[in-house]
Amino acid sequence: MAKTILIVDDSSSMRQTVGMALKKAGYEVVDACDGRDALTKLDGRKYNLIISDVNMPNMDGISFVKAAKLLANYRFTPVIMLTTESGEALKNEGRAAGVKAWVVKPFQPAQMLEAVQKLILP
Amino acid sequence: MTELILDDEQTIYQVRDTYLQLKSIMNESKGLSLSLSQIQECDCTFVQLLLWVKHEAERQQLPLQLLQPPTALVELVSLLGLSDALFASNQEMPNG
Amino acid sequence: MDDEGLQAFIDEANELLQQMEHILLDAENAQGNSELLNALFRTMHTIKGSAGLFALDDVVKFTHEVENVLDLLRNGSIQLNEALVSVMLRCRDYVQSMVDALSNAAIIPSPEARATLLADLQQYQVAKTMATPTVQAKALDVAPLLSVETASSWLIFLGFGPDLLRHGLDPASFLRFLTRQGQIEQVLPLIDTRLSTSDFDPEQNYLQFALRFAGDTTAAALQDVFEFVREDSLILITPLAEARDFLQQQTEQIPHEIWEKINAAWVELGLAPLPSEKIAAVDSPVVAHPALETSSLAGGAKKVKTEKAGEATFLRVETEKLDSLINLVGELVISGAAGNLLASQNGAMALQEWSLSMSNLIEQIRAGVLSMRMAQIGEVFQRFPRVVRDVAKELDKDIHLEITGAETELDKSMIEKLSDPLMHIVRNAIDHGIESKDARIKAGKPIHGTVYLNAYHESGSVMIEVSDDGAGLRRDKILAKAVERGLVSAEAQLSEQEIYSLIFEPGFSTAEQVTNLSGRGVGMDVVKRSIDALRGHVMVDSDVGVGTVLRIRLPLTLAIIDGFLVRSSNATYVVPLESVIECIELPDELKIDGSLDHLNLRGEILPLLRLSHFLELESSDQAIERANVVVIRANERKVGLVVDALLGEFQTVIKPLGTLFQHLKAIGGSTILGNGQVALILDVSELVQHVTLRDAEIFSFNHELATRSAMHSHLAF
Repeated sequence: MAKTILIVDDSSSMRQTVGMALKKAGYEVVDACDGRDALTKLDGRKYNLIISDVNMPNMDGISFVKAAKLLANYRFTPVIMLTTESGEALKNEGRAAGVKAWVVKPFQPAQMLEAVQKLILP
Repeated sequence: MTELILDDEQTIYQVRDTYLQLKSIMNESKGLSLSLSQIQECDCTFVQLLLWVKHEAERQQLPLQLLQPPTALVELVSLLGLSDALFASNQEMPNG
Repeated sequence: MDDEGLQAFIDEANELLQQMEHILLDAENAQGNSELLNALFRTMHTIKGSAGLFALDDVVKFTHEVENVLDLLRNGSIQLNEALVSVMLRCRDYVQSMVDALSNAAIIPSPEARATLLADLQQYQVAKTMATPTVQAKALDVAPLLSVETASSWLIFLGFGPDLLRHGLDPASFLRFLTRQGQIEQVLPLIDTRLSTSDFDPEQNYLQFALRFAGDTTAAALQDVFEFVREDSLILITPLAEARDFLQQQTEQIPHEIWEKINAAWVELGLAPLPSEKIAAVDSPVVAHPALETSSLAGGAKKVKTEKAGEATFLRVETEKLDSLINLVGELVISGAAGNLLASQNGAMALQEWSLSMSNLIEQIRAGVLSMRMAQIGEVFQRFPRVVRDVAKELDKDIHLEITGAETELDKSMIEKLSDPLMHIVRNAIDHGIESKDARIKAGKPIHGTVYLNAYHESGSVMIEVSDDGAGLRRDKILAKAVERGLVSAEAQLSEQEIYSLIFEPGFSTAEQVTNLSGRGVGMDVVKRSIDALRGHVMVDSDVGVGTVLRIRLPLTLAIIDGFLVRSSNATYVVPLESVIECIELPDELKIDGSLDHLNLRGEILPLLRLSHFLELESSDQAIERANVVVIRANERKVGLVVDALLGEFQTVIKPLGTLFQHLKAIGGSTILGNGQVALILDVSELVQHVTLRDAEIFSFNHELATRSAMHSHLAF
């Protein structure tokens, strides 16, 4: 049973490239272009992992994760948050929202795959 | 002896419900037989739950059977070094 | 990664860069608008993030710096003033060039521009580095843990925190991931006793583990497996051989109870018991140390090397070194040409073949070395958005600037010298070229004027165009002013081009109202002189009511030219090949010597300049018999240069003339030929101008004066 990952990022090349690497490794991938879009994808479908950017238009990643953690179906879903080194204050906010895994941008697809594999196997 | 067949998914999302169910069975019945064969997905919370069930059964001196654990569960338990604690001493041996 | 992904990145980056420019050019609106400032930040942030996916380290590093400054901007630490807008616009352009370079190998982002921009960005970041030392501190904090020592036998303690599972983190996943680096030889589960109490919480974690692990890896690599749980857990990893010392060091940091637990677990997994119990055990770690140190050194060196490889994309080289290399390559070109000549005279097939492949290589070296000197004109263009904004504001005009061809390359040393003349031209275009807002409305033109900066390569030259959609040049006005200033006689019959070129005459100014921006002191004559100094030409084209175009033609480089060798009176001269149009034989009827004559070239009147006569050299009659005409062009005018013989193309390195000879306008420099002879390089534009003036004087009233001046001013007109 393939594990499903939700990727939330406003960069389409990011979604495409990361998505491709993950699919190649055997994961199923669903993507969303910002927090608001991602919330509409939390419709009961099962996600084994959420990968979310922080800074996005419409709804940022932190707000999205906070909202997701309030939903029964997603309250325990692990989250990998994409961040920059400069976002220390933001990281604290994310921690409070229950984010434990951070991947510092920029990264290469292989690095992301590795981070994902630490958390869930395909 | 109460038999219970566990559903396919036994992760943190179900563990509280399963726990409450097992707790009430163990409080009321004279023994527990858990059929694990349906399980397709499980995580450490489930392994912990089995540890708790085992301990609870010993404490209450209830007979306990863990039946037909699927490969995924056997591997997980082995990875955590808990094979002896869960499957070896008494009851059913894993059937792979 | 794959091409498709990269293309997606390029498309996205282009979009974001456009967005960035949009926000920046509307800075007044953006300042204080947190949404726009955040969007601005996101443009660089997103490009950086995506660039990282494709390992575009240059893009990542640069956008990272820009992002930092944009971060300061969005949190209000700095203001989006004009200076910052200008820096950001230049950063934008530089990122654009890096993105463009991905799909076009011919585009090489200028390292100089990068260095300048990074320095500019640095200024904004100084405050920040002092404000948030956390990042630095954290890196230092982690460093001691990231030991690079390799070992094959490890002891690990995984003290997972109680909330681990609620965060979706499963200990089993980490253990599985750990097996990528080796084998878990033994795992000792340490079950928290609270699991068996009545307040068991099935969502809480009660499992901790002690492991003995076999794998040739480093502590850093092993720690990395647990990076996501480290915050809430106690993770200890040490080579088995050092485990005792390691654990002793931890006594202060770890609560005693837990320390005891770990110690017991590790002893069970093979750790020697406490030293107090067995003193002999002390010996072994001491023996083990030298070996470990060596491996640590090797590992360390290796790591440094990989990091260096990632950074070494640019190499800063002193200009002097490069110049001396270029000079040497110049000599090599000459020497190669001499070798060519010898080989063809010798006639041996093998020698000729070798010589051919040799010149091929030399050509490649030459092109390579010259390309090192090349920089993008964008370096200069980038300064203009700011200038245009400032000047437009000062004059209360609404001006758009459109830049194309910023990636066009030319000699770095020329780029620096181009800055001032271009600045003057652009200011002039805004000041005099583009009408006031009222005038534009009256003329039915859009209220905002546009200034275009364009650069492109054309047949071995670089063309730079500065155009505007302003009022255009009024020829009658220029002529009237020129007559008034005594620059031309009222009767002179001048062509369109000749009238326009009058604006480059010293002291000429068409502006009725002198502003403080242009037209005071320095005029277009200074511009012309600067361009001339670069061996360039400047031309003007204009349509009244439509606009003006100023075209500058520049050679690609100042160091080497493709020359055309001619002989006149037993001396060899070099004509820059780029200005040679064709060569024809001098018709018999014109072979008699005369200083003033013309040739009918396919219906066009071609003024002739007899080189030997012009240079006042003695001409041999024999040579005259076979005289040739080299048709040369400069400033859109053609002149036939009469020479004794044509010697063909030749690559030459330009050697400047000594100060003694620098007033000789017709001679642009010298070069050494393959046979060691010195040849003078003719300054074509001066020759053509001389002929033009000569002819203008002939057609004007004072014929006598013209003849006299032509006779006395050959070398210093």
